[in-house]
Amino acid sequence: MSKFNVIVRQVIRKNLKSPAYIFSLLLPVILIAAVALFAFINKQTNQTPKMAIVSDNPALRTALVAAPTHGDYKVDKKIVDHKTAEKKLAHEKLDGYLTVTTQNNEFKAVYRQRTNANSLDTDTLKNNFSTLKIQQTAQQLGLKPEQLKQLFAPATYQTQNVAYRNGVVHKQKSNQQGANIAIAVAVTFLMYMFLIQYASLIAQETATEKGSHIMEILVSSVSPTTQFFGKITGMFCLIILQVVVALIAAGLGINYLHQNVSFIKGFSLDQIQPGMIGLLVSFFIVGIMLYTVMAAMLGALVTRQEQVGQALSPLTTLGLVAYVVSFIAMNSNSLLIRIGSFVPFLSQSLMPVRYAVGNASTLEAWLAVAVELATLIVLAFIAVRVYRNHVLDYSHKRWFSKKEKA
Amino acid sequence: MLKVTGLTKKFGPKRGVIDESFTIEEGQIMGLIGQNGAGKTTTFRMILNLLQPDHGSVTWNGHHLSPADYNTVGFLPEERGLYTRMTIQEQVVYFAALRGQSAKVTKQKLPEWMEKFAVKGKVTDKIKDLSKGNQQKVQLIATLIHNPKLIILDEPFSGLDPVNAQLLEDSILEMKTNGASIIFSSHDMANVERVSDTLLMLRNGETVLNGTPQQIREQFGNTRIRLRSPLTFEVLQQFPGVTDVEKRGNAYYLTLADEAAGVQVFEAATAQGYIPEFSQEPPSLDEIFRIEVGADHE
Repeated sequence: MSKFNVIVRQVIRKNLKSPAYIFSLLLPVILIAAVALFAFINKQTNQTPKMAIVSDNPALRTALVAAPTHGDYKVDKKIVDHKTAEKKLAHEKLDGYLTVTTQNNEFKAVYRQRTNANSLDTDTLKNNFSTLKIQQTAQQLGLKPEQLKQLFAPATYQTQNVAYRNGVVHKQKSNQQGANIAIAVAVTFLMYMFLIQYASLIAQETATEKGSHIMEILVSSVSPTTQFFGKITGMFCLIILQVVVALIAAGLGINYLHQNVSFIKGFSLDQIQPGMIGLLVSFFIVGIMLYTVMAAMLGALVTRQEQVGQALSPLTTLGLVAYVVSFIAMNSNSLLIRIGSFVPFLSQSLMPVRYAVGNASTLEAWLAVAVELATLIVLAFIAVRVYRNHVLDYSHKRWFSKKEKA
Repeated sequence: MLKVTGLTKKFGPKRGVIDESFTIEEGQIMGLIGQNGAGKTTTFRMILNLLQPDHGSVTWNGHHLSPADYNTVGFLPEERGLYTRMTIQEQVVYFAALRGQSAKVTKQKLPEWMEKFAVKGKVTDKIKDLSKGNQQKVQLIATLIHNPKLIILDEPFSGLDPVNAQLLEDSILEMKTNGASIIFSSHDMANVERVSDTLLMLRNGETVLNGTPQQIREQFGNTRIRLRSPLTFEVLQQFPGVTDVEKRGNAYYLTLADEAAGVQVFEAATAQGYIPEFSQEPPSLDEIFRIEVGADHE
């Protein structure tokens, strides 16, 4: 096995053994599992209410009992009188009972429920009751079924969503923009967390190796260039793993949850534009790599591990600024934000949001990715030089001026 | 063979190495001595190509040391560094892998080395749970387990008790038998004298002594006498050619201006016949070290 591979494997293995990394890797899974658990518990504890229907009008009662319940309630058909219903209610055998009276052609229903009962979604019951009332009234008025149908045929009402991308109408399904924004916000958040995490991970590691003089053994075994790129590649693999885990978790989660959780209802994977996923994944990887490479360089500049936080703070602040500004970008398309969305170190947070709300074209979005990628490549070569020249330098000054060919 | 020629590296007015030259053949051990800051670590870094000299050259078997040679190098830095969260096995396997030895081979060899250095604990113990001495032994194992041909040990004996120092000495001698070229630095002259074939002393980067321990000691002449005889302290002090007298236990330690004075001391001491002890020798390396360091302080 080449030494490059030895280093890559070491970086991966070391992190896969670290509880902090495992936690961050599983964070999306944990979040989705938590929501699923919440949905499950909610479903379990909130059982379908059981009720009885009593009425002075047996025909109406029979019709009401037979009406479709859509799973909103269950009717105990055996209970027909008021007294039994009250008794069963008192003994918590029922959640409530409906008393229907039709005296003087006046349809009246009273639902009596225990305060500690499973709550009833009354829409279906009310609908059924109204329909029956209408049918009975129509019968009395001698209306034919066709006339009745005509009378109650609703007027049509429709909403059409349009979005313009690249100047032309961009077809999208009803929830698409909402889904895009939701996913862009979620990814921007995850990206902010991970770029801070990866940046501090590699900076800590480099500074620890330097501070503990392990570096002297490393650089006398492997060239600093191999070492640097080995580390960066290891980090890259970890990021890819993170992306894969997040994508799988999100895919499975959304598929499962959209049937069970009200706020994701009607939100499904095919609402997200395929282009959006590709863009987000690209920004995720390139953005985090950019911060990681920068952090590795900063880690090589410090002399002791304790100085890492200080050396990293400008970088983490930049990440935070980009993240915060991404919220502004959701509602604003000012010149500053437009420019910022192309600036490396900022674009990974700004551009996905601008793209999701429809303020940036596909071309612009990919251009921003390209700019960030180019910066990453240039930075990597600068960083490896700095790394090579400084990993054995324990002086406290001349951070950037030292030109020593190692 | 390691050949260092005219090596010079200056950091400031009093730091660095000036015109340093030596050769270490296969199966030879060189001790590098000198005070802190004398230039030992700088020398090691230049040999390892971690630092570029201003002048001079380092060759290993006739060529400059390049990354291709890294697998044949074993380097123990002065300041020890291990990944404290790794187990002994993970640590040694990783460092050996960076020297081109497969994990499988390292895992096979490790128990034997653990025994050789009498490391207390199992290969699955974490480094951070080991005592300082045992951590140092693990570091030594990681330095030597891939059977290097060029071994550079910066203060390998520091922090080891005499028993462990002996284990290390044995290992160094074993590596020498295997044909390695070994260079090590030490403050303990006894170790240096026992183990080294040649030694080199640096003072502020300048080479002040270079040769075999015997040659170096002989440069100073047989100017030390250890004596047990009827002669008293006062008599010895007044003796011509004796510059210093010290009583340790029941023996006197004399320093002579010239080794020829020893003849008169011997005659006077044995004037009445038998004496239990008379020994005339060159100064010990320890003493030479102090003399040479002292020269700097004057």
